[in-house]
Amino acid sequence: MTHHSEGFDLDRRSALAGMIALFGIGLHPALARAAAAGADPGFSASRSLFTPTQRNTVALLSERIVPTTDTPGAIAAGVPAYIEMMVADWYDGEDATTFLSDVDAFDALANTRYGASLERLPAQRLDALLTAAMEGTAPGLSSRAFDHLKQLVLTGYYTSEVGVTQERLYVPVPGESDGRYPYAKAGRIIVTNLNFL
Amino acid sequence: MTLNLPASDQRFDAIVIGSGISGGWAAKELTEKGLRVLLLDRGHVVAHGEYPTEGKAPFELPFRGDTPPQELLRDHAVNQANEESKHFFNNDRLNPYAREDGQPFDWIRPAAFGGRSLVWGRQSFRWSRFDFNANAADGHGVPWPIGYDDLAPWYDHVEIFAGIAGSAENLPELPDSRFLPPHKMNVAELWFKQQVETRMQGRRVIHGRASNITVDRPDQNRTKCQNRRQCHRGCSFGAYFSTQAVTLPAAEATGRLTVLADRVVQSLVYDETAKRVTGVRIVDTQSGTAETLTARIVFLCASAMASVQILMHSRLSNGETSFANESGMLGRGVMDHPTKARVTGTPPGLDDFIVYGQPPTGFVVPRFRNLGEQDPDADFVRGYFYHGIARRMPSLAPGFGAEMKHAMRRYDPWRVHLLTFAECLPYSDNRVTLHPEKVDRFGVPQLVFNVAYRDNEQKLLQDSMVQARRMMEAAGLQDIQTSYSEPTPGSAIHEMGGAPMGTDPRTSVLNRWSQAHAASNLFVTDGAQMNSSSCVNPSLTYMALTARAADHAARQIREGAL
Repeated sequence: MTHHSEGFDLDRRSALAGMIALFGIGLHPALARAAAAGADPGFSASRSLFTPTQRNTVALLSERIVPTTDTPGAIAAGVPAYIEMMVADWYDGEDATTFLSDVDAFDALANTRYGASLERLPAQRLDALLTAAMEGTAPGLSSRAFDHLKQLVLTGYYTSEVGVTQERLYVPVPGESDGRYPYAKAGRIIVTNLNFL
Repeated sequence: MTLNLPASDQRFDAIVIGSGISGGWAAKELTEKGLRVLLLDRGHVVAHGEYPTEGKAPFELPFRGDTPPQELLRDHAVNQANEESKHFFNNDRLNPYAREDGQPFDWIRPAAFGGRSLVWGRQSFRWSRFDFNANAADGHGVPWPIGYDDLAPWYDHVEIFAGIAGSAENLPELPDSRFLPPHKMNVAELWFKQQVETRMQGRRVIHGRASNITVDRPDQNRTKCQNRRQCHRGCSFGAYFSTQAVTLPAAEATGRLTVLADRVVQSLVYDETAKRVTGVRIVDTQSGTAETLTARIVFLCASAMASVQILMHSRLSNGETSFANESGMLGRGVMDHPTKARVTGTPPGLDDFIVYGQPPTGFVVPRFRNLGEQDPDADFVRGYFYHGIARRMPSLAPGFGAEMKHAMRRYDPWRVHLLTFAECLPYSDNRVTLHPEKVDRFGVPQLVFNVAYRDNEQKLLQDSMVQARRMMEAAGLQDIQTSYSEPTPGSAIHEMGGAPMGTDPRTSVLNRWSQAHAASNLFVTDGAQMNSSSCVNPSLTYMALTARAADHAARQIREGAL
């Protein structure tokens, strides 16, 4: 992976490899889980909450908030499904209603402002809608619509497998501690526990 | 573990109630001294290594580490346990206390075998001579019947086995333990230490003292700390002290230990003529079956407030008063550590560095107020100390899109934090009582808390913020900020007192050996026995007091006195 500086990757490999060598076949279950942090079990909402249009809108806006760059973006990280789960299983009724109404308002705004459904808008127009929402100049949205959507996207992204293992550097079993580690060697946020945002 | 039922068919020399820090030590010491021990816990079995969330990445936890608000409100309204460790904590709905009927108190307790040893903060400090002399010196509370020298060999004893990492500093206000090498300070902590110690005469910034071992202990099947900082999920490496990792294996190795989990103790049976505890009434929390178990001695280690509750519900034949309350002191002198005062600042010029690997402890600033004699500028008695850490949090960038995403690869500036832990005086009217009507599902009256912090505690917290700011200014920190919120008693989870030890049975519940004045075969060795609070974290002292009491009990048995 080009975005990891070589120095850091070497350090990370040696930390993990060192642990595995130390324990051999008696490999610690926690370490095994950490080393094999592969499959995202993909927790999903206990019930389907969004309409197909709402689902699509959430996905498109999420991807504009955390786009694909040199690392995958929000869609590849499963953020839209995470948001649906949070709104369905976590938000109380009032918060969920506000969220859904804001999603609908984004769609309505696309139509009134650009005469097209949101999914047909080019990226720069989606960004213009998000900017208006952020600046509080988008009619029909609740006052914190942008902040709440951004919070959901960031939490979902930076706790996802993509967010933890590709956008950030996942070091679940550091072994040793270095309290004077050059940031330049990592160039990223190091994730060791759940202290993610 | 031996699980041959029913327990009442077996013969035990000792019953230990509670498998937490104190109960685990009692089981280890008593079995090693040849006693057949039954160890009870109301919580479910948690086997060492079988820790449900250990090692899991955020994306492997359904709610990414948080407990959904509906469940939090329903089952964890008091302890606010999160998804990482809620399976170790009390269900506050099923096991309530009369929270609305007293003053605000957060009774936060675990409900799993191993108790608080699974989820504790692991900070381990000896009490000083100032602490043991405090009550006698300023007249608050009952004087301690023991001094530092009585406990010092027992501190040695438990530290060597538990494994405490720290640095020897030779400070009378914070005596050294038998240390393993300390955990490392990071670059900002070292900078802060150097600045403070050069610029403020006598002020010290030293390594935290943690029960996370820094060298492998193959004799105990423990591996040194891996700097994962997820101790509260359980540690299969056995790096930190817990019942599961440390005391239970030792007790089991004797072949004299029997363990019963899912057993709640309702009360003790008391023989008024013999002045002995003759039984322990238990209920199987899964089947609802009740039985009464017997043994020559009982160690009550249910955690401070739960032990007091059991004692209060263990009544004389009049059905009214507790056998252990001749002094009227039972339930009185409840304490916790006032905290929630925090001062933070940024050290200059360290932006190039971050931390790789998260050590299990930060630093501490030992107590410096009213040491031995009253400071002329102090309008309060006793003192406080600080837990500190320096850390950098990931930046939260404004806006959205690629620019924001890449800006979030950076860290905010370093922040040095100083968090106060203050001593709480033992006020006899800070007390718990049994509710006259409300009982829990096992028929035990619910506890009512009437505990409040007062003028001295407020002044300690206020002074601690002034002094912390002064230290940070002297050190040259920038952007210094103070935050304070009124601490709710209990919230430091250091609740203690309620069955104080003392010399005089008219003013104390226990004698100098943690042994009930009213029943020589009953020992209470958890936080209930404390009659002052010091300002340092208490668990190491409970370990030492428990080992000392176990030694005394075994000696009395050998001598035929019990």
